[in-house]
Amino acid sequence: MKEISLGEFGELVLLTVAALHDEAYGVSILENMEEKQGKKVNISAIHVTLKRLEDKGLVKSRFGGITSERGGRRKKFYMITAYGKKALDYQYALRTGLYHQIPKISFG
Amino acid sequence: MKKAPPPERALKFLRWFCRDDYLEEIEGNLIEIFEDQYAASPHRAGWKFTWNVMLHFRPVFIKSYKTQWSLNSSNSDMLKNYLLIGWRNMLKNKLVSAVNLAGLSMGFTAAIFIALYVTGELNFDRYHTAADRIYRITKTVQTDQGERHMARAAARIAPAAVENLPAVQQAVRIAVFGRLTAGYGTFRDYEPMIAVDSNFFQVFDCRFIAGDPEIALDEPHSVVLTERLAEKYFGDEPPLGKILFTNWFEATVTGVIGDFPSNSHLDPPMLFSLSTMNTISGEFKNYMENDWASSRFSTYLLLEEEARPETVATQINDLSRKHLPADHQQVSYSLQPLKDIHFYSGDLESDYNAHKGQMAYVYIFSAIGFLILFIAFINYINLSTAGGMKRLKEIGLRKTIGAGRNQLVFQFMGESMVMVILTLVLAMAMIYLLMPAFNTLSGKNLQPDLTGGTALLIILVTGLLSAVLAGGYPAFYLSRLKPSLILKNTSGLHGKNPAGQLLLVVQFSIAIVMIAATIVINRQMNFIRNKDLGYNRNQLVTVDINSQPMRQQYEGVKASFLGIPGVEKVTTSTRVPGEWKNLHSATVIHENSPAELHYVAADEDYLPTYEITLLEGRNFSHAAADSLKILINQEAVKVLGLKDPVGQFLEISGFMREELEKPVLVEVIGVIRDLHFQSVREKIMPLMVSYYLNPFYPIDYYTLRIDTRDLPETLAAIRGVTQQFDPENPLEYHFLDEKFEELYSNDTKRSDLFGLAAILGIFIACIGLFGLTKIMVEKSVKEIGIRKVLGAGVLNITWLISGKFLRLIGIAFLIGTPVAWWVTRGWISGFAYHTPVTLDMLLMAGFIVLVISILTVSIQTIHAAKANPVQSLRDE
Repeated sequence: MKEISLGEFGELVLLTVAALHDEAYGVSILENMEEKQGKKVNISAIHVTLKRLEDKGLVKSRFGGITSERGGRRKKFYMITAYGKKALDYQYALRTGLYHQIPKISFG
Repeated sequence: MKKAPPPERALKFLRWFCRDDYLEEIEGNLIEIFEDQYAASPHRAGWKFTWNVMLHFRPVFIKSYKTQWSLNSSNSDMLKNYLLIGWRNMLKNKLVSAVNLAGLSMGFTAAIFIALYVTGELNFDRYHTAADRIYRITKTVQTDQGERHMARAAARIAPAAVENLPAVQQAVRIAVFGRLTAGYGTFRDYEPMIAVDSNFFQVFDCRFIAGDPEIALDEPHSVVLTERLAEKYFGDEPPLGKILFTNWFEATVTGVIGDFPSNSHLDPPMLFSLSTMNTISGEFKNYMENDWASSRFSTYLLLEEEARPETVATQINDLSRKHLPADHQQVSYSLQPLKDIHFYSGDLESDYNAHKGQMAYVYIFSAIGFLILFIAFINYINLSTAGGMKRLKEIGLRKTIGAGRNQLVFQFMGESMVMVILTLVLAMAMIYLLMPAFNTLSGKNLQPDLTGGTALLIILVTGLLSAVLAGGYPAFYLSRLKPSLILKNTSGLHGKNPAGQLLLVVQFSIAIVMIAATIVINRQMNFIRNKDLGYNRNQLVTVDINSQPMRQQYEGVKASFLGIPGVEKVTTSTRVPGEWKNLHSATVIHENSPAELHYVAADEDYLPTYEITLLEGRNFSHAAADSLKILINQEAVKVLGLKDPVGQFLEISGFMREELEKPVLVEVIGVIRDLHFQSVREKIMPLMVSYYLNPFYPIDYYTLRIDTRDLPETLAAIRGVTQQFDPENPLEYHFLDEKFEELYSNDTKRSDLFGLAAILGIFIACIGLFGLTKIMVEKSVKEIGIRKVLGAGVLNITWLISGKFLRLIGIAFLIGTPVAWWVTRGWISGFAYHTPVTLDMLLMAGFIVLVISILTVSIQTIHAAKANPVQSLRDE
């Protein structure tokens, strides 16, 4: 496939979107990533990355319903597209391939 | 549960910059985070929210310029069109635009410079933190001749005020003791000896570079140097703790302060501790402890916040009266605010004041600044009105397709705003470039601090105002014209614009007044320089006597000076003309009527060396018997009412208004011509010259008449003689004519500044005229062509165009000349001796302006008149 430039952070966000399935929106992505990585992530970075991923067609979005939470603001949910999934597969294949090439030497 | 609202301002900001399609999502997420954190710590949540908003302020999320601003697209298109048309117009008339730009920016530059100068004058001494609470004590003494005001007080006043008056927080005394020789290593120079109380730095703001202001002057034999002096004496060595040699005592350097700014009336190069004087002179110590009567100490009080200076002054007078003997002169003290010292010390004697200012000059220079700016504005108004005439078609078209008058006004105002901003930028650049030159010229030390808040604000407001003022008239004038008339195209040469003509007249009247004033000022300065002073001041060198050996070995010193080949004559005296120290005075009584005479003592070579004419009687002879003989000048003869003065006896009853115990009888042996001892501003005073061998005042100067053939060698020989008699102190000499010139240095500076302003004024006016002619010529190219075809000559056509302007300048001349006469007479009467303001000076001013304007106008018109009519007529 055509190469997709996906940074490390971008890949992590994309993975999180995929993992959260139907529940991926700004704050949930943020919390999930912070929990998994064990370090602080800034929301603005996530927003920027989501926009880029959407521009590249790796994710798509839809608005949720209005609730009394969030000052009456709708959530914007993100879902991974088939193209996005393909990109993840490609990355995964690339990495595992490389990983398996590591000689079986003891690093002890 | 009611949700806490996130910080309002951050939210507003987010909504302002964020793209609409992203806003809901981002805002929602941020609010959710905020609400999550709010429970834990409301304060932190708020901060975090604001911080997150800030992090979103990046290009991805910011509304694009287009979506933000072009909502009202017709307006912005119009704006763009205005700018474009304005810009094209500027480019199309490059010359006129350049003239406009140059004139306005020069006007602004001059005005800003003058504003800097004037604000500097008005802010004199105000930089001290406690400036509002600092007062100087002044003393008024009643004498037979009237009141005398002094900027000094007695020694005990300051300590007594602090001890007894709760309203007085601090009191500091400054004592000036003439000069001393200071040195370090082998370097020696003369410095003023100024000693102050140790709390000087608690009253006045000084920037300490080294040392501790609290204790610097606590000990006797301490000295605080200014940066300049520290470098002069110690170079790169750190001066703190070093010993400064002086010919009176040695002092330890305990501090280095920044130089006093140019807007401080105090300007001591170094400050000694006043207690030093107590330790080196028991007499002085006694004086410091008991003196209630003298006028020796400049005394400054720092009052409490709410203190009333009048009350404090009354209390000080009470204190003083308690300690003064009842029969003592009538003395009263009052307080002068620190801020008044610069401008309102004119009648104060013994005023330790580095720069006395005159309010009159502040007014004069402000007026000049306004006038120059005004001339520049008129240029702009006339040029854009005339230039606008060329755009009548544009205006007509705009009006026809529905432009309202407001829109047109807005368009022209906008154009002038752009113009003004451009000129301001240019002017600021010029100010930065010219600042050093201006400082040299004005003798000020202004800083080009235009970026400071208030300065920038003032400049911007002035700019805005001028854009409205200068752009206003053309805008309203042009927008008022009827489209039907405009499109019919009226003739260029006969279009009437009476206001424009009036402005031109005003402009050139101002220019004529300024030129006339410059001519008169220059005449007066020349008059002063060349006035017969009653003696020949050229080729005279004065040598200051700074030590006892030089004074006591008078005979030897004089003989050695005479032995130098280049020295023709040598004399000694207590004072020399052009003197910057106080002249002595003596009270002389003749037939019971006292008169105040200037007093100089000199030897028998005084008259020949100075080439002073003896009118009657004889000069001193080389004999001790002459010690009670005197010469007087013509003015003294008049003042004393003497008939047949030679051989008369006069009684000297006192010196410097202090009575002698016993009057001294002296005999008049000769009468000399009146001579100007001081600036020609002053009237010639009655003068007595007594023989140098007298008990009153010691000699202070040698004066040498030299021939200037081999000056360096002669000076080296003079130095050799002084070193031989007094190896301790360096030679200090002056050329008398230069010293005399210094008396007028302020006048010279002012006349230079004024001349510059006048030249600038006429220049700006003329480039305006130049631009105006250019526009006029361009507009009437066709008319000129037709006239030529019909047989008009070059002269005829030149006159047709030039005549219009020259008539106006003629009117300006008629208005300007009387005004110039009135203005310059006022200034010149400040000099006791002055050249009359004659008609020829004024006529010359008018003539100069006329010639310059004829030249300016004819460059364009002759060119136009000589052009081949085919050129202008073929394309119709």
